[in-house]
Amino acid sequence: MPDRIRVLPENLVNKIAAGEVVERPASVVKELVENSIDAGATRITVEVKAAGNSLIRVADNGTGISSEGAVLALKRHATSKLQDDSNLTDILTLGFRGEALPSIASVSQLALETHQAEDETGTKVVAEAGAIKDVSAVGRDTGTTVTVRNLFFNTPARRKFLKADSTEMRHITTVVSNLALAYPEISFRLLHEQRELLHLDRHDSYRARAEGIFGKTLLEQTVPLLFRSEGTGIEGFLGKPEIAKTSRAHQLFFVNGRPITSRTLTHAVIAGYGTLLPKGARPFFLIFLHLDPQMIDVNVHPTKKEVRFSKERFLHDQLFHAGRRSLHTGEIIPEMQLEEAAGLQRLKRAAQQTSFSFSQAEFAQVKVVREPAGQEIAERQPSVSMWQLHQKYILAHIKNGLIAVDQHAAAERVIYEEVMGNLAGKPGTAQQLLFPLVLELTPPQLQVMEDVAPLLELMGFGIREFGPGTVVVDAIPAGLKHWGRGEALVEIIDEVLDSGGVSFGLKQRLATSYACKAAIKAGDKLSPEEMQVLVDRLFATKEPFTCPHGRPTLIKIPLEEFDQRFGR
Amino acid sequence: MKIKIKQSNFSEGIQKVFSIVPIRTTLPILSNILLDAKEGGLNVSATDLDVSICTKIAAEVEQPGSITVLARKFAEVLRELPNAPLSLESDGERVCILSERGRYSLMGLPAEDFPRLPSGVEGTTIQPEGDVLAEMIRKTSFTVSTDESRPALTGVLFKADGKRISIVATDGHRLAEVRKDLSVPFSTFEAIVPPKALSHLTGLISGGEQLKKVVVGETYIAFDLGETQLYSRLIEGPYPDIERVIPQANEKKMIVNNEDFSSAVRRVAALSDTDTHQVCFSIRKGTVKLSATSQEMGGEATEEVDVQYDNEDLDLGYNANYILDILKRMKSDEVIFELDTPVSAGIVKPVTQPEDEDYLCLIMPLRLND
Repeated sequence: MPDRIRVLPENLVNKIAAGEVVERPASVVKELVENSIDAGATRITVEVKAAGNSLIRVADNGTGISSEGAVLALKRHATSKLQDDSNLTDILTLGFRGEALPSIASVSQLALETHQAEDETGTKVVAEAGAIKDVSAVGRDTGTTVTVRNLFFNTPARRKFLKADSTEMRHITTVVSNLALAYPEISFRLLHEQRELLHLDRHDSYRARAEGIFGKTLLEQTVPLLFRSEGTGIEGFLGKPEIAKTSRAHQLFFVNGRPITSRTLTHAVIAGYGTLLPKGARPFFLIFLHLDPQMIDVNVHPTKKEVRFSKERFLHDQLFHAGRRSLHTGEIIPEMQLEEAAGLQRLKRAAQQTSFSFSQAEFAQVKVVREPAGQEIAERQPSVSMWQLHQKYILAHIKNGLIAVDQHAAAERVIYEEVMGNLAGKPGTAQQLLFPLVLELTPPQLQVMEDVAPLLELMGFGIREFGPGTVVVDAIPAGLKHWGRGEALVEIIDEVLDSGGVSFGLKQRLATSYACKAAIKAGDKLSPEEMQVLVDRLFATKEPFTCPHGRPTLIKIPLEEFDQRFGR
Repeated sequence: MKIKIKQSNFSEGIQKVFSIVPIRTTLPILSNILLDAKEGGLNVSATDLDVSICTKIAAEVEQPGSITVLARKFAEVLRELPNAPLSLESDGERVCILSERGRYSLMGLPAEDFPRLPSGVEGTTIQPEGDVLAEMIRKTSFTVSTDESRPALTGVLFKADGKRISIVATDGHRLAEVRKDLSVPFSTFEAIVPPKALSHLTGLISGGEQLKKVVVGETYIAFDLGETQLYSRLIEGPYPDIERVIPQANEKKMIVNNEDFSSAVRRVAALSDTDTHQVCFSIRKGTVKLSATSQEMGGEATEEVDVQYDNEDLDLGYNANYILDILKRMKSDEVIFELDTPVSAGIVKPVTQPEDEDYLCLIMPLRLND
C-alpha cells in the first residue's frame, strides 16, 4: 500500500493559501498596501490596470528590504514582523503571518524592487507562479515597489469568478480608502489606467482625511466621538440621524489601524443612537479604536477582517456610552433649507396669485438638515405668539428666526418620556372608568398582554380578570384623551407582538407605541395655550429634537434664510 | 321677491338662526341662510345638516320668492343698519337691501339648492316648561363626551317612563343625571340629542323664546318655540345602561359646605399636575385634607376643610376640574358626597333639592399611587 499521506509541495501550499488570502485583485492591493504601511512608508502609490487583472503596482518610500530578505520574502511564512510566538499576542503591525507575498507570487508574475537605506544598491526579484526566476541589483530610492502582473494567470478557475472590472475596481478603491482613513499621516494615490482616482495628502487628523474621502459636507453632518480610558481610546465621527442610509456601506471600524467588521461593536453604536434613528435606518459612522494589543486577537481569519476582543462586553458598553454622550450633547436641531428651484417657482407662482400659502405637498419638498443649535432654543422669547399651520405644525418665533414644530411628533416625545418615567418607577395617574372595557384577545395577544400587564399598570392602565380570551380594562392613564373602545391598547399589543414578542427594549417599544396612540394627531386644532404647553413640555424633555421613531420634532428657519430669499 | 321689513325684527331674526351656520363646511351653500318670503312673513332658515332652524319674521310681502345668501356678510350689514323700515328685493340671483339712503346688494345662490328642512316631525309630544328644561340641560350636558369613537356618549340622553323625564350625559369619567316628575303623563321614549342643538335651545329660551312643545321622533327631535322651529337629528343608540353603573349603596357620606369647599378645591388645584389635575381627598372624621402636587412647576398645596363625616378614613384622588364642574351646578348650600372605595364611583348630590327633582352626579376617582 503506497503511503498516502505526504507533505504538500510548497508551491501547492502557497496556492491553497492564496485561495484564502488572495481572493480578488483588491486583496492583493490590501496585502501590499499593508506591507507598505508596516514598512513605515509616508507615501504610497497604487497603480492598477484592467481593474488589477493585468497590473497592480504598489510603490512606497518605506524602509525597504535587504537583498537576502527580498528573496526570503517570497517564501512562505517569511516575515520581518514576527520574531517568535511570544510576539503573536502583541501584534501592532498589520501583517504578521508571512503568507501574503508568497501567496500572491504563486498566482501571478511578480516583481519586487526594493532598496534599504543602508545598502548601496537595491534588489529586484522576479518570480512567476511562485518560482523565483531572477534576482538582480537595481538602482532606486529607498522603499519598495511590488508589481503584480496577470493575476490568477495559472488559476483559470479563480479568474473566471472575478466580477466585472467596475466591481473589482470598486473593491480596490474601498480597500485603499479604508486604509487611508486609518493612516492620515500617510499620503495615498490610486491610479487606474493612468487616471487618478484618489489623491490624499498627508494630514494630522482623522477628520481631515475623512473629509478628503467623504467630503466636507458629510463630515459637517457628523458629531465627533472621543473617549479615552486606560488601555482604550475611541475616536471617530457619528453621522447625524438624517444622513442615515438603509445600507451599511459607511459603517467603519478600525482597530489599531485595521479595518474590521464586528456585530457587537455595530450594535453598541446603533444602541447609542437609541430613538434618534428611524426604524431600519443605518447611520454613517467612522470609529477608530486604539486598544491594548493584548485585548485583541487578530489571528482569527487570514484576511484579518474579523478580530476577537478579550473584553467584548466591556468594549461594547464603553462604545455605547461614548456614542450616546456624543449624540446627546452635540444637540442636533434640524434646520430647513428650501430647495432652490422649487422655492423660486413657488414664489413666482405666488406673485400671480392673490393669496399665498404653503400647501402640504410643497411643504414636503422642504429638505431637512441639522445643526447644533441648543442656544437659540434656550433663548426662545417668553410669551411669543404661536400659530398653527394646517392644524399640523406649530410655528413659533425664536430669536434668530422661526421654528416649526410637528405637533404629533412633539407630543409623542413628551408622552414617551413621561411613560419611560412611569416605567422607571413613578407610576402614572390612572383614571377609573365608569364603563370598564372588555377586550377580546387572541391567544398570542393574550400572552403578550400577560407579559406587559405589569408595565401597563405602571403607565396607569387598570387591567384585571384574565378570563378565557378576555381582559377587563377598568382604568386608563389620566392624560389619555381618545380612549374610545380600547382599540389603541389592542394596537399596542399587536405592535409588541409584531416586533417579536418580549425581549430587549420592551419598555421603549411599549412607550413608543403608546406615545404614538396617545399623542395629538395632525389635524387636531390646538388653542394658543395648548400650543404653549406642548412646546414648553417638549423643551423640558431629554431629547426634544426627535420623536421616539427618530423623526425630527422641529425645524428651524433662520432669519438669514428669509432675508436671503427676500433679497435683503 | 319684494318685501318691506323692520330692521330690528330682521336683524333679531337673523341672529336667532345665525349660530347654526357652520363656520367651516365642505358644502358652500351651508354658509348661506335661506330667505323665503311667503304670505304673512319672511321665513329665515339655517342648517348644518344635523341641526336646523327656521324662524318667521313679520314682514309685508309684496311679491313672494326665495333665495339663499351668505349668512355672515348679510348679518353684518343688517346689524349695522339704523332701526328703520327696509325693503328687501331679489331677482333670484342677487339680494338687495334698500335702506332710506343705502343700497346693499349681495350675490345669492338658488333656494332650490338649499337642503330641505325636516318639517313635520312625528312622534311623542311633551310640553315641559322651557326654563325647567333649559335648567335640566345645563345640569347635565357638561359631562357629554367628545370622543367620536363612542357616538352615543357624545349626545345627551332624554328618557321618559310615563311619570318622569330624565336627562343624562356621561363621558365615562363622570355622569350627570337629573330627573323630574311630570304633571302631565305621556308615553315612554328615549332619544340621544346632540349637545349643539341643546345649547342652541337653551340660548333661545334664555333669550325669551317660549317653548311650546317638544316632539321626539324616530330620527329627529323638534323643538317648537312658536315662531321659531329647531330641529335636530338624533344620535343612534343604544345608550349604555346607566342605572346599572350608578351605585345605590355608598355608605360613606360626607357633607360639605359648597362655597367653602369649592374655593378650597380651586386653590389647591392651582398647584396640581397640569395634565391630570389630580387633587387628593384625605377624609377623616370631621375633616378632609385636600392636597395636590405638580412636579412640572415644583408646586405643593394642602388645605384642611371642616366637613361632616363620621366613617372610616378614606383617601382618594379626583380630577379637580371634574369636581369643580359638578359643584358649580349644585344649587344647594350643602353638598353630599356618597363614597365607597378609592377606586369606585362616588356620588355627589345637593343636600336640598326641589321635591319633584332628583339630581345626582357621579365621578370616577383617579387611582392613587402610594
